[in-house]
Amino acid sequence: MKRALEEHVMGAIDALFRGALFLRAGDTHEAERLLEDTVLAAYHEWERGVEPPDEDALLVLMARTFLSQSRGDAEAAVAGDLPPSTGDGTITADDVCAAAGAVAPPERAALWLVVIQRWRYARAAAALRIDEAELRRRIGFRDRFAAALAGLPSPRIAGLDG
Amino acid sequence: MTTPGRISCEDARAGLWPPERPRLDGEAESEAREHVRSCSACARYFAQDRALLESLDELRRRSAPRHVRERVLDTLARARLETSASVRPAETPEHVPMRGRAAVPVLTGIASLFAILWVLASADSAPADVPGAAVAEDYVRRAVAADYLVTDDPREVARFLTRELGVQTAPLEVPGLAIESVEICLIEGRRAALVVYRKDGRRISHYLIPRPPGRTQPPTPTETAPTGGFATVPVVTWATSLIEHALVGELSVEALVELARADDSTPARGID
Repeated sequence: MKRALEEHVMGAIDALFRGALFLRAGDTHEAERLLEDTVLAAYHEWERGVEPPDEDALLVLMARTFLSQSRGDAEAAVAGDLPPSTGDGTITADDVCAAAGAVAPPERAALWLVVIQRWRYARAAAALRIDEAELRRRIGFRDRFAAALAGLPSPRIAGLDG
Repeated sequence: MTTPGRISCEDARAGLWPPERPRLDGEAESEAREHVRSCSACARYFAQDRALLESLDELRRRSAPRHVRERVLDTLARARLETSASVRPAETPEHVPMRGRAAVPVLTGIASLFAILWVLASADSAPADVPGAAVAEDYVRRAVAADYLVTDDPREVARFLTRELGVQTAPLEVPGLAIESVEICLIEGRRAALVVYRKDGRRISHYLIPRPPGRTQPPTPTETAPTGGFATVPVVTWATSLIEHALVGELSVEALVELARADDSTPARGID
């Protein structure tokens, strides 16, 4: 039985929502807009198509939608003030998403696919339409993301050996 | 950066990452792991990764809240409505009334769902006896997160319908007709609502399907035979400017027409 697009989208809705939150650095309003734009893009791409979208295809579409919307922001990386540490050693999902704001959108998308979704380099590079060398360069901003997550000025994670 | 040995830090890290699915195996993996053990920078890298994974676990446990799910479904429903309005100009309200061939696709979809729900509502039948019934119901409920409201308050139902459908509307209010519940469902991919009533112990289902602004239509009776060899199901449809309505239930078609005509939002008053 052919599944409606709604069923495919709802099957991936949690992963899409988490991705939108991360890509929009925890801004729920912007994350919901990104999710809505992704769903609309999915409708136009797949509604009359042959292949139904699986979760990965929807995640790729979200990454590309995010990057196309962030094209003008690539240089205006939200890399200013790092979010303050919670102070009690507990890192929440909100902290993770806020820390994503410490890296520019292209690097943020790469981190999302590789570090959070745990995609292989080749797959993530193809999704972002870049080569693996560029992907590795963007992944290199992982330390900044980690530092933002720890709320520390130097690239350390609280709890690690000093 | 390299340490004594054949493998570089970059290659060791790339080869052993992600930790749950390293890219190296056999001797190459052993060499890389030995490198990490002897290289403080690489050891720190993987310790950082483990700490990151622990913090990301919480993000992975997060699920989309209800309002986000509904917003997504609303987005798709609007996209479908806009598409059907733009590709089927013959169905503009001025040219194609609810009755007649243009109504058949909607009626077929509604009747099919009615057949499924008719069986499910019957005390003597089990969903498993009807091929696809359980799947269809699960599909519908899962797609809209199975949200529904159990109430007999028409004002509460009106608020629910207005909020969920984005169109100001209300349930039927007829003496002797008691509301049981209201829920959101999907009809041919379109977000719709189902209000369930009881009258003299008999169940009546009222479907409300938002549509683009169009011509109103008075109640039209139809008797549709659902799949599976069941008896014909009486269906009464009518349209207000923004909503397609359908009634089906354990009443005669004449009684259903009478209920539909009692609706404040029927064409005679055009409240929608």
